[in-house]
Amino acid sequence: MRAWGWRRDGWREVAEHLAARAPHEPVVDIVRASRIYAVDGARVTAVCDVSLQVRASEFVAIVGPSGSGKSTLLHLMGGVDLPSAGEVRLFGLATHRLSDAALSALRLHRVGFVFQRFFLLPMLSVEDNIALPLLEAGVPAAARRARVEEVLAYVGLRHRRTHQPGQLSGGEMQRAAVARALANRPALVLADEPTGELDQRSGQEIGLLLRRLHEDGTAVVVVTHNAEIAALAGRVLSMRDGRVSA
Amino acid sequence: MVWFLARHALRRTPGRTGLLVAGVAVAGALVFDMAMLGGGLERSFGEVLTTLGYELRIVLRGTLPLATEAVLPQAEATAQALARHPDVVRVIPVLVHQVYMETAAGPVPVVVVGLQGDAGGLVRAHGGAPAGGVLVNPRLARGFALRPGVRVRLAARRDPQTGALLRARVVRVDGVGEFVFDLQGQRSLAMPIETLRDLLGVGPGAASFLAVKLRPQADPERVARWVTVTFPALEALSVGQLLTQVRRQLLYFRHFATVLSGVGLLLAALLVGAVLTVAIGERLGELAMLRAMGLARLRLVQLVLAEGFVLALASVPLALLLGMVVGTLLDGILRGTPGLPQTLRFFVITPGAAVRAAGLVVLTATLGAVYPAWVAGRLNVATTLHQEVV
Repeated sequence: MRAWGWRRDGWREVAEHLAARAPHEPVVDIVRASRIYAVDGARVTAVCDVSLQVRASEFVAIVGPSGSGKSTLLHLMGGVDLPSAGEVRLFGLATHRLSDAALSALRLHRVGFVFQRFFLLPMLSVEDNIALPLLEAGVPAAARRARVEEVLAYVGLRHRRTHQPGQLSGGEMQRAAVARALANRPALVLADEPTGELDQRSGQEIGLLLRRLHEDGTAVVVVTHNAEIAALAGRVLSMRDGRVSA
Repeated sequence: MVWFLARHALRRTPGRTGLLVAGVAVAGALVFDMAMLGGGLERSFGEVLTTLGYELRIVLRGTLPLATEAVLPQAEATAQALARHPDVVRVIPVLVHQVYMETAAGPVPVVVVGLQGDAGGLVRAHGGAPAGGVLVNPRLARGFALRPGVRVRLAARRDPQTGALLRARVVRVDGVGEFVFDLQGQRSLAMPIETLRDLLGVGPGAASFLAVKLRPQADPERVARWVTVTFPALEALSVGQLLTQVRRQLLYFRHFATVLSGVGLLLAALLVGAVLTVAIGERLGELAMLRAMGLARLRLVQLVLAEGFVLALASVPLALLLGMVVGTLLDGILRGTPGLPQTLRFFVITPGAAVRAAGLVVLTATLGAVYPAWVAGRLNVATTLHQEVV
């Protein structure tokens, strides 16, 4: 069981390593990783012996049928799940060797997540939702406000800043979720079916937003069933039965 | 961020938050009332005892002032001896006894207080000082239309066979006064101590107790020890000693208050624990998102504990207000109980009781959030995110 740690200790644990890291190193390096679940006593292999790398500024799409292990692979890449075998290196750090606090701090400062269900907090305004990662990172109020303003403009939601999530359309909610993922200037954005609950037009907007992110230097990995989104990616990985094929 | 989210969590489901705050406030009010009851009686007794400014009561060993009809036979001589002590400023002999007053409806028992001089503050006349007659308390005055100038017949005893009044004499009512140590519903009158001694047929120097006033810098316990050594048949009770005895007698109330406070606190903890556990179950997706965003397990635990703390804190003003209202109502009911000093109060509102109750409620309600916090801390992020989509 991982130790439960304090956030600043966690950041100290990884910050030194990140500062010494060479820029050309892959942001994600998966070496023969497998993820096996025990379901009702049976072993289910969600990800099987996968090796791959995601480089800085790369746009990767992962496609495949439902249950093929796409989301599990994405979770392994983001360090919210750990491999049962093999190794996942996130910014050069083996996720299974890090404490919970360190892995959390790494996600907070270097990884942005976008989910199909948005997960915006309903009682907060759009700008407060976007400010959450900045608050957690201890960014001072003035810098926080400036950064929220910046990402609101980036995703085209400045006019919605004071609105509650319930007052937004699906596309706007997902743009707000993308803005939240970008708040701490992540080097890697992981999106799990980001257009799954959107109409075609909103889906296209989100796809273009992700491509813009990639063009601006952020590595993007998107799990999708949407062929239009996959077509925007520089590399498409196909998954079937937990295995990846290029 | 934890406090920011905890504060905003109150607005998430206003109806449920309102009910939870009200529930914790009711439990908190009970705790506040019990805190007032636990210390209030003792504090109230202390106030009654210190009102007069007499630091010592001298009684026959083993008795309590106003709780016995035993008398100090040589009280005047003892008072003179006590007055010679360098720390003693004043000694007042007080004689208290039950007598019978003749009325149209037959003899009624009344408590009579025999006092010397200006009564030392034990009885406060509404108008002028009595001129050799008696002062009656308002209840006695109202009950039998006793006005200044009216004459009443008092008797020391009543024959158990014939009901005839024995050792009777007629006295004049000089006025109405407040009796500091009156019990609830008691009919009292005061007269010069010599008159009462004569009526009762006790010795010329007799008194029930001596009230002793000391110099401001004097140590009452030291003087009390001197009295005990000098007069072995007597006992000197300081306010502190009396309060210790009162405390001993009020142990039942303290246990009662402790048990009810415990029940109130347990309710608050269970209420917060149950509601937050349900709320956590409804927010698993959000919590998984927060973990994925970069909150460590410990931060999620802190978040849920902070929600419990904020909820409890929001309940405190209502709890104190409700506690004061209920305490005042209960005090009114309990003060009507016959046989209790009418100046005694059961529920005394003090800042200490309020702070203690508020602190206990906040602490316990926060502890109530421990289980939901543990549930949140144990959250499997990947599984939860997967289940949320499915």
